[in-house]
Amino acid sequence: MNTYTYPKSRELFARAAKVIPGGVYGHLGPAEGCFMPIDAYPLFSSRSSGPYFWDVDGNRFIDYMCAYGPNVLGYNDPDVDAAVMEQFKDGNCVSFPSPKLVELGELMVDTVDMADWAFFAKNGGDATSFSLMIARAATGRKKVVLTRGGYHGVAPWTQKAGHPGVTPEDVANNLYVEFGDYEALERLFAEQRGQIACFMSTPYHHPVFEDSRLPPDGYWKKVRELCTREGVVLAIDDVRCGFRLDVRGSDAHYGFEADLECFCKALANGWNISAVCGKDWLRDAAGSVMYTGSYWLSAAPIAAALTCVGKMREMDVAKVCADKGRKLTDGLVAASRRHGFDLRISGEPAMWFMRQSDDPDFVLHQAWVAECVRRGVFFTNHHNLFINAALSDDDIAFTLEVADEAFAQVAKADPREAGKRR
Amino acid sequence: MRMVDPTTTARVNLFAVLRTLEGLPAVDAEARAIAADRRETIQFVVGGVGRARLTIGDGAIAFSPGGGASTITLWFPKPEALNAMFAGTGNPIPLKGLTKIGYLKGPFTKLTDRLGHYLRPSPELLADEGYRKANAELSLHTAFYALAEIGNSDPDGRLNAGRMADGGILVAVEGGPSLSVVAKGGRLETRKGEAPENRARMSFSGVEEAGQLLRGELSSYLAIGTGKLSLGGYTPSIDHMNKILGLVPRYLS
Repeated sequence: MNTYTYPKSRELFARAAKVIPGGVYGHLGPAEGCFMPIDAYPLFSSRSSGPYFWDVDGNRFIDYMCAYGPNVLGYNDPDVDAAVMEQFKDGNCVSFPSPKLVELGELMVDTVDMADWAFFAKNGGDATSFSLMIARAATGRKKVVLTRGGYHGVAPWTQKAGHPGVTPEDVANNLYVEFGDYEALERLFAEQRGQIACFMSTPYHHPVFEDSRLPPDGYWKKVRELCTREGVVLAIDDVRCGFRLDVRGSDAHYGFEADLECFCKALANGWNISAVCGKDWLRDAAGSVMYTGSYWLSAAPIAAALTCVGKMREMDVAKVCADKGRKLTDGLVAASRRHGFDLRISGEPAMWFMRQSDDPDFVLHQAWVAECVRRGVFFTNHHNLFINAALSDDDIAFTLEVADEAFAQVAKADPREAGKRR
Repeated sequence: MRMVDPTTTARVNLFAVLRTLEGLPAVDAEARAIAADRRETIQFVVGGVGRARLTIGDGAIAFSPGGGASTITLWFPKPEALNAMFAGTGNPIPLKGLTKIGYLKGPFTKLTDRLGHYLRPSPELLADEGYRKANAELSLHTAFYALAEIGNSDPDGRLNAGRMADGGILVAVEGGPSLSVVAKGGRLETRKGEAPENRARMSFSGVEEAGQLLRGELSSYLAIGTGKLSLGGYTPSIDHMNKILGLVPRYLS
């Protein structure tokens, strides 16, 4: 199997570096993306279709990052993109919203189990910040409880004290518990009684660098009861999981009902829109918070979301992605064992996390992922991966072939270490 | 945002800047000549910070943290007094070696001037390849010695050091020096060379690239994207350490 090289990506990065801080910043960039070693990775894409993207050197990749989640139906989904193009003919960013705003609100309320209303913005971080403001407006309290290692965007309140640009005051109202530790949450609520506005959490724990953790049995039911009893708004950050686990919302997937639920990523298959859905009792509070943006009611992404949500419901996208995820991850584990390695899978099948066992410093995993990327399968090292509905059985078979060869390459490159694992 | 605090500044001056004198004879002829002359051990006693000694002689300069035998002892009642000496606005109080004031004002001051020469580059000086290399190597040591002090003392530094898992990070320069930053229980220690605790690595492709990054001519994100700085292993610790590295210029500028 040929391995890829990336001369044009490198040339473009050198140009980017002159005019853009860091060349490519954020999670799509080489630093935050943990591209190790850097020479195994492309840096720019030229086009995409279905489960693939092609880099600027013409190399094709099966993309298991799915743009970090938005690609749920397949890149350039013909139905979603046709709806967008049609809307462009009528207008996009105008002084008044299009009727499609109302249609999408109705569709969200009809689709998401907990939703009595829906509010739209652009990014996941808009939705989580808005949810916190709603909770504060509704309760008159300041504090928010978060889970350690949880990710809710990049607004200052979501970051860590001591990080560049973050003041102690930005995070002064944050309290932290371990995900899944109900007793700790109950203790914290008792200690801070009357001060906590909101408990915000992802539906299951999907941090970077660590195994994903599913909620323990009965956890969410007890948390729901606790929040109700203590007058704390239960906000689920479903930005990453939303629709991939269940089109009714991930709270429905785990058998409970959130007060607020944040969506983005899969909502419009890559078109820029996010949403907060809420319960009736928070409707007035939501309306009272001044929160808006120049493009938040633009019609084209709304048209995309209307079509995307409709398609996800129709095909039961969560089941499709879960089935494909199981097939793929079973095959990856089998490939690892053939070469004396032990690939560990955690989280939900549609957005699994993987690492090698007996590899506490990630050296082996980074080497294997790099060999996969060089052969056209785009994984990242330490973030959960994503399945999209366009992924075919042939794509899975190709991925497993690549994984097998990559394991063989890693074993060959370090036979002493590989031998230890046999 | 928080500015520098005097105790951390004094720790950086005492345990990072003075320690870097160890590397001076290897790159500077004047320093070699001074170190080849008479042997003296200067002890620095800084209230609220601690003690350290510099032994100059036999062609070398050796730094040792903590107190002990000395031929000259300098007392600084509080961190600000040490910082004033480094800023050139204050003098130490000699407790021992009163007859050796001449050594302090002569050879020792010359050594610190030579270190300052290499740590404060100008475009003219950087035009010389030998200077660039010396600047890079000495700056690397100062920066990573300082990093441990900042991680153990500065409020933001302590927050980030506390997030680092136990274990070390190798900071290596291809064809050049290497250091290890070892974390244990949220406290940091910088050692020369490889440490058995190392779990991650941060490698510069060369001395030139290390110098560019330390002088602020090259951003770390750009260095990573171009392969001038490569990372590997247990990267969460590198991420936390880099937050502390970002504080270093505040204390060394």
